[in-house]
Amino acid sequence: MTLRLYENLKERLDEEKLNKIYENFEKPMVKLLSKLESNGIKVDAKYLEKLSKQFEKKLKKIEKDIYALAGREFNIGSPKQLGEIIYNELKIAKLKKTKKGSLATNANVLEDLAFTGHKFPNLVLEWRQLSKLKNTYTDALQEHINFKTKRVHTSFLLAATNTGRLASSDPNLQNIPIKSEDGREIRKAFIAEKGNILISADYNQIEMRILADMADVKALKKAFKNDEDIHSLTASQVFNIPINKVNEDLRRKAKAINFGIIYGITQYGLAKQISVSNYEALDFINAYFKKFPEIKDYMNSTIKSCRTKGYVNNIFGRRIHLKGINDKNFSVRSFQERAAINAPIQGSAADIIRLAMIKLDHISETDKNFKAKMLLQIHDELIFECSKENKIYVQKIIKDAMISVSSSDYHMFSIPLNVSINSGLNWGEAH
Amino acid sequence: MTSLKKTDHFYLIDGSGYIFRAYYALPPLSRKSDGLPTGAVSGFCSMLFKLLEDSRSDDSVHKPTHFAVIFDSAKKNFRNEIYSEYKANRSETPEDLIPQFEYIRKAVKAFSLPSIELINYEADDLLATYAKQIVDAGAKVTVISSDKDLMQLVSEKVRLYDPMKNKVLGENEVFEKFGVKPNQVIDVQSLAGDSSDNIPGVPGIGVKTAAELINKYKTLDILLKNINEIPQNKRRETLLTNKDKAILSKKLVTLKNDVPVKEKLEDFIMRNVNKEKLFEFLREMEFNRLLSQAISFYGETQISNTNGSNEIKKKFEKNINTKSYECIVDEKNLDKWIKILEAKAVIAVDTETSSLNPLETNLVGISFSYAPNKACYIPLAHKEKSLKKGIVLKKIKPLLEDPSIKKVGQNIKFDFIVLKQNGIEINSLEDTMLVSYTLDAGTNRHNMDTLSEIHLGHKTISFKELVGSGKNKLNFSDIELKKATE
Repeated sequence: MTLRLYENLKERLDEEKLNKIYENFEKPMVKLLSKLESNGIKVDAKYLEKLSKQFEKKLKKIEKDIYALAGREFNIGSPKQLGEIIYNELKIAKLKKTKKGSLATNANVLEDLAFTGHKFPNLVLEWRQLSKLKNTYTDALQEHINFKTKRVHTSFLLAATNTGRLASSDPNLQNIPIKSEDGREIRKAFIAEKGNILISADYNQIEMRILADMADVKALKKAFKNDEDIHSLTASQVFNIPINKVNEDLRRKAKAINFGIIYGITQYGLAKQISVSNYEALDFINAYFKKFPEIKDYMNSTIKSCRTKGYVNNIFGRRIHLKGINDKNFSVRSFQERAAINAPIQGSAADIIRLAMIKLDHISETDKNFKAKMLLQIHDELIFECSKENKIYVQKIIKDAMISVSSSDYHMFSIPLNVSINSGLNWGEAH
Repeated sequence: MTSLKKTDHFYLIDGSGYIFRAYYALPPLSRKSDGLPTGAVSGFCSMLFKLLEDSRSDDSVHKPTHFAVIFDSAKKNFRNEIYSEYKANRSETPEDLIPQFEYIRKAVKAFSLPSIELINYEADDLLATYAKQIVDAGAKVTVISSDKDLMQLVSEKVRLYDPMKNKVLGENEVFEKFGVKPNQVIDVQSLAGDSSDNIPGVPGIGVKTAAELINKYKTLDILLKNINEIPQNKRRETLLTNKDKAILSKKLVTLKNDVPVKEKLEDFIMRNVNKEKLFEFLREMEFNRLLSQAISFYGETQISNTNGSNEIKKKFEKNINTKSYECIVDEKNLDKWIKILEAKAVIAVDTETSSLNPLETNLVGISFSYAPNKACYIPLAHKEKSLKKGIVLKKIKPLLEDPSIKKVGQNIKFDFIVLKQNGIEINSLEDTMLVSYTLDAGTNRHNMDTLSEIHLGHKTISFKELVGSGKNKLNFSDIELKKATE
């Protein structure tokens, strides 16, 4: 069965000219990821236990606040009971039901409610997030520790996303919140062996850089070449003020627009995120496209070609099929249109880091002085472990290799790549 | 009262569990003529068909003699009376699954199998009850399910079989998962709880700790009577404060094995399939591939007269054939196979293991293939007679490490790690999952079931390509055109 399948599919690889992707971006990952998985990462079980308790305490406190607001105790984890409280007892929202007729209490509904200023839904969201972290990380991680190696060995899935991004499972280590304090606390549980350190190397603004390159956005490319702050530049362009007058708030808004463009946000989504009216949000988006006309052109031509071909390619030629792009249903169609913009960007980022990993794996096999082990890939970030003495050399090699992917046999980028690198005794410190 | 033979073997199918798994694991399908969603029904029928095929094979030691499919009767049951939050965390049934329930029950009837359900009871309780009756009568049971809640039933005479992963779960596998014997699983679950069913358990105690405790104290009751002995302060305290939760959890996870069931065991005996009824059902559902499979398996009905099905039948026979796996248990045969394989440029490799964690698993067997229907299986850790693992590994090592022979696998990273643990580093890896991913990311999933389904589907319907067969095909011809113009 496998053989016949292989012969059939392999023929198509040639016909569809995708051999290059399979040979250079997929096949080398098999052995490489086997190494990462076998290496695993050390986890501080005692610390996790402590953290679990700390989270438990925090949860209890939030629970107390929730009960105080609700006027009684109930099971927060039960959507049914929660619905009762929100709609029938506190009456903080107009009745909203799910398709099947039960009361709606999903994250979207709660976020909308929180946005209107109620404290209760916010607390519930906070509780849900924290109990999720506790269940999936501080509690579950302890069970994933291998009894022989005393380390956690995640499994990387090569074919679980559509874009080329890796996924990780048992445990999923790619889902730890990046920004929150709690996420940071969890990262601290991942530690180096005695005498070693962890090194974290992260591509900076990789997706904006890819967009600048793919869409050939002159202003953005220039900014990246001069190492300027991209979000301040965007703010100055969109809000029409000199770059030295851009304050934190405007920069934050501009950053939200930049990400919105990459992820295909709508004016409504943007309005909600930066707390402005829908009209203002639309104005911002229009101003953005006016200042960076290449981006609009790129988006239009990408969607157009996707409509006729049924797929998009990323910068290296990886193909992502989007069957729903011509769907009769508007929401399906527009969802796929956004995916058509995002998938090549996210997919290119995924392939950039694949190339970096392959390069570094090759270095570790050939350079005797590079005494570091690759442990994890978390989207745009790579984690290594090495002895303290080797830190300086290892960091230099990693950084150089990651940056050098900008000129490879597969694509010459018109912008430089940028990598920040840190180290510490645990992932929290190194990140 | 019951007159069963020792050799009788019951296949009890956890219908409700399977529906959900089929729904989530298989790509969505819908009936072409009217758009009725049929993905889960189709998956369910394929599974039934495969199981029935087993019953006819000669080499199966576990050949089934009796069959029944068991369903949940309703969402609420006696457990909700004990604990209102039982399964309260379950999300709603997906909309496009709801209409399929009806057809799944029809499917069971079409296959002439008994369909069992009883109000107020979960399928699990019915399964427990029948399993007990069958074992008491001296016969064997295979429960077709992968639900861990059913692992408590496992014994010398009862095993679980997961048809999607083609994995049998016996006492050893249960021990691997829970760290205790099957009859102690309930006690472990009572302590560890289960978030998917909303079973509270004792906070802070996971499966590992629970197993440790139960192994020490043998049962939950003894443990609860001796909590004060526990040296760890915190653990002792949580157990003291959450004693009630453990007791409640035990009530929830313990399957009822004395449900007042109506059907008699004898009624489950395999009957001859009513071909007309089955073919008509498959035709109505527009399951063309299954229909052709069924026709070639059971033979045409007299009234069936379509040329089309004949044609399908011929194609089908040509492509599928029977799995002619050769089982290698002596060294001479192994040497012969290695010699054949060494002369090939491309071979397929697959490892059979005892668990899905490649770093902790046992290598149970390995199979090779070099052409369609030319395959062998080398058992390495089966109960029956087999070659010594060390000898086999030593002999196949050069073959697997030879860079001039391509080794094709499905998700070969898994096999690579497993063999690496056994001292073999495979060279020249090829992976059907990754080829499919490179070609069809966004179009379909890339697991073996999906790929073979699509692959076979293409083969069997290719003669009516003109009728049009999906976007995938259209894309394909687009590319052809582009290539031609270049």
